[in-house]
Amino acid sequence: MSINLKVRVGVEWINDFHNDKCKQNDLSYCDDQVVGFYNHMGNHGHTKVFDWGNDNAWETDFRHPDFGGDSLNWSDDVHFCMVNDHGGNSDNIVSFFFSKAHTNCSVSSKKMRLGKKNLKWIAALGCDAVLNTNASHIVAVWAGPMQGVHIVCGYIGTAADSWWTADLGEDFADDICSGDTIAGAWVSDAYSFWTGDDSIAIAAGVTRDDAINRRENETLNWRDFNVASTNWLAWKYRT
Amino acid sequence: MAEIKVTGKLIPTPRKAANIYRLKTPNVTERALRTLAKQMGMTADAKSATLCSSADMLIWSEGHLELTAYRASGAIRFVDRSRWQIDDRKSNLKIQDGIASRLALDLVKKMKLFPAREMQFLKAARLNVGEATRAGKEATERTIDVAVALQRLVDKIPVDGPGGKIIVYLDAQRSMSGLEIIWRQLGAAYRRNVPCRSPEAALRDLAAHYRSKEGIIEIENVRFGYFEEGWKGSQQYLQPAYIFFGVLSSPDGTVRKRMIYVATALTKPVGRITPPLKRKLPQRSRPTR
Repeated sequence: MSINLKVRVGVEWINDFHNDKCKQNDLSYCDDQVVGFYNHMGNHGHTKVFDWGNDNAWETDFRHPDFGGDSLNWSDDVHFCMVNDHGGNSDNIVSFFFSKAHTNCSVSSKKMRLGKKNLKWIAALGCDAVLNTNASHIVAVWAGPMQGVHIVCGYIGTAADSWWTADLGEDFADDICSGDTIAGAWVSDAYSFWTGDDSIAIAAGVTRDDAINRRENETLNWRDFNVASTNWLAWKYRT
Repeated sequence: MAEIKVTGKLIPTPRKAANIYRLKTPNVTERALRTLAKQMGMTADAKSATLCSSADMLIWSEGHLELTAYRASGAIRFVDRSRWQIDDRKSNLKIQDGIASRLALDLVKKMKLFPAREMQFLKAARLNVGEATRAGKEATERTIDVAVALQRLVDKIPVDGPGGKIIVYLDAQRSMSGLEIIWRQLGAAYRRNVPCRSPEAALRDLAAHYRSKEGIIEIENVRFGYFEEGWKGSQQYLQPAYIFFGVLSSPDGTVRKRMIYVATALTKPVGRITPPLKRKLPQRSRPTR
């Protein structure tokens, strides 16, 4: 299937953390994965809007204005956002961690309203998008933050920072630009027998059938088929 | 400089010397692809097929069947687009690892791809689907396929890494819906009977690799095996490696990411395996609104 719609793309990544209150272990390959995605989406004719790395990546880009953030001008002003950094999940709340405080060192999913403006798909390549695959946990983590976004892609538990998976982003971009489904391509590309990365994609829908249909069939061409209300979630994962 | 802590147990230095093999240049041509297409049960008839060529791959398509060969590695992916990872919305595959492994091995034998003695069962990974209301009600979950990974053996040593595998996808009816083969052809031995160095010595390579990084790397597990790259790597030699699996954790343990480093294992290796970290130009500072 050919893709005939253009989407706006933004990416953020953090490899190097400041030795202050934001301190985390440095990472090495977050940029390779997401910049690969960014550039390959661009090669396929999609619009490259922002690529913010290290100190240029800010938690306010993901925090909704209701909580003093600026998400509507950044993560939620593109159709596809990919972020790769340290992630954590505690009490069913996901957090992304940043290299320096702008304004905070991290942003929690409690302060995200994904899809309130333009965001349709987000891939969070940090760890712990979910900690397990219990339905109660998946919906407790994501039903709240998914407010219009169609599909969230991530990992079950930890993910690897490795040279050997550095081309994940470009492979994923090539696949979805060739017409592969977003959830299917993510689960297939991000799963690794070798590194132990377990992938998951979570689709939102007004009804059960709507959520399943998006999980099974949604491509980039579904950009303008909005999710009016996240009443159901449908997910797929490989473990 | 990153601090390296070994929290797991390092493996002993393998006593047996090992070989380094040259790898043959992959034969990715239309003719080779058509021969393989026949082995996969396709007609391989040019009249009913499409051949797409790009810098990275050749793709042979017949209806919903698709066979891809990767130029750099010679790796193969065969998928039935009408069934591969497709949910029919009702099936629930319940299959034990042992049975899935036996079915996968039988299929590989039937296709006469490689001798069974050159592979062993590695892992079975299931593709699951689930749904629930936003309140977590009416939750359902099913398994729609199982992917069985068979690991390559060379000189009875496992081949580790993203390559060195056959992956057989079995759908809910236990029929093959996809097949992936990353299995570079061996050439002649380049070096024979080279002794192994110790994992501790290889660990020093890891420390040097992460010299420019800050933090604590906890090494939890080390494996020894031949190392084969993935789909896109133009690998020239197959040599033994130590593969270090570690964790990067925050002090309170709530934020973690795993890391993997691959080091050569022989006293006289060919080059290095994990490329050095690239020196990257910093981005220009982002303007503040």
